[in-house]
Amino acid sequence: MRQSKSKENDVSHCCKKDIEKIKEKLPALLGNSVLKEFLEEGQNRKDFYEMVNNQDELSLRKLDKQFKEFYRINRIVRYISGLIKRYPIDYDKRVKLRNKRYQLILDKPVNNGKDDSAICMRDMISDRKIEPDDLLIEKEEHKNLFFDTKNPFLYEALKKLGLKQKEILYLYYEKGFNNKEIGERFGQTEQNISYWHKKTIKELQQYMAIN
Amino acid sequence: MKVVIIEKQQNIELILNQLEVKIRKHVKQTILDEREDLSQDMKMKILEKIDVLLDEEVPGFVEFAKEIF
Repeated sequence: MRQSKSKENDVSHCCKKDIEKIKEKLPALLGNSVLKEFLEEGQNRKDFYEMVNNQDELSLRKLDKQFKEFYRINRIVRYISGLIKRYPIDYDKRVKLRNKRYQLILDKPVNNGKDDSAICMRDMISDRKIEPDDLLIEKEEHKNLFFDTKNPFLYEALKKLGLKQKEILYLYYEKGFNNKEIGERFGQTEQNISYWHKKTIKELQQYMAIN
Repeated sequence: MKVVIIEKQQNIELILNQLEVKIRKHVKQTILDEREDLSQDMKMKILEKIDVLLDEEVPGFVEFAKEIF
């Protein structure tokens, strides 16, 4: 019992000292923006002056509790406010860097907006997506006639060729694929396509010679 | 436990409401296309920060006053 009383005395002594110190440094405290905001609240202001003027410990304890609640939120609001100011700047930097690094964003201008040119990345990329198959499907309706020719002899000769031969000629001469790419379409080697190609040309020449 | 979580949510809402206007103002710094992305990005970051900061110990009046001395 005695011990707890002496402890209480200690606390009260400590509080008195605190209050005195607060009184001493009053101008500095009142200049602090956080405390200014805290004391705008009527009840807090009342408690504060009661504590200072009457050295009231109860008010100090009340104030302490009130302040804790107030500062818990206020501190975060202050911190986040700073964050909100800095964040857009950082974000812009990040976006710029990302745009510079990943050139494959297709709609963006080639020169990063440095002059007025409206060319996008998309325009600069050659279209390699078209497969030989797509073109053959397109031509499916005219299966028997891959080439428009005005030469009647050639027309007759072409008609006599096999489908595969016509396809090879069409892809090679009309669409400009090379033997390797055509080979991939048929699942055959480059050399084999080359052989068929030459053979077809020879056949054509023979047919035309006969006629 | 539940009460603590609800209290925390209320606190987060309180803080976000206070900051909403500020966010809208500062988001205008960037180009129109990026504004929506930026504000979402920022809000996510803010929520993370608030979550951590709310759990931290807060100084009382006397402690705070002593820091100023």
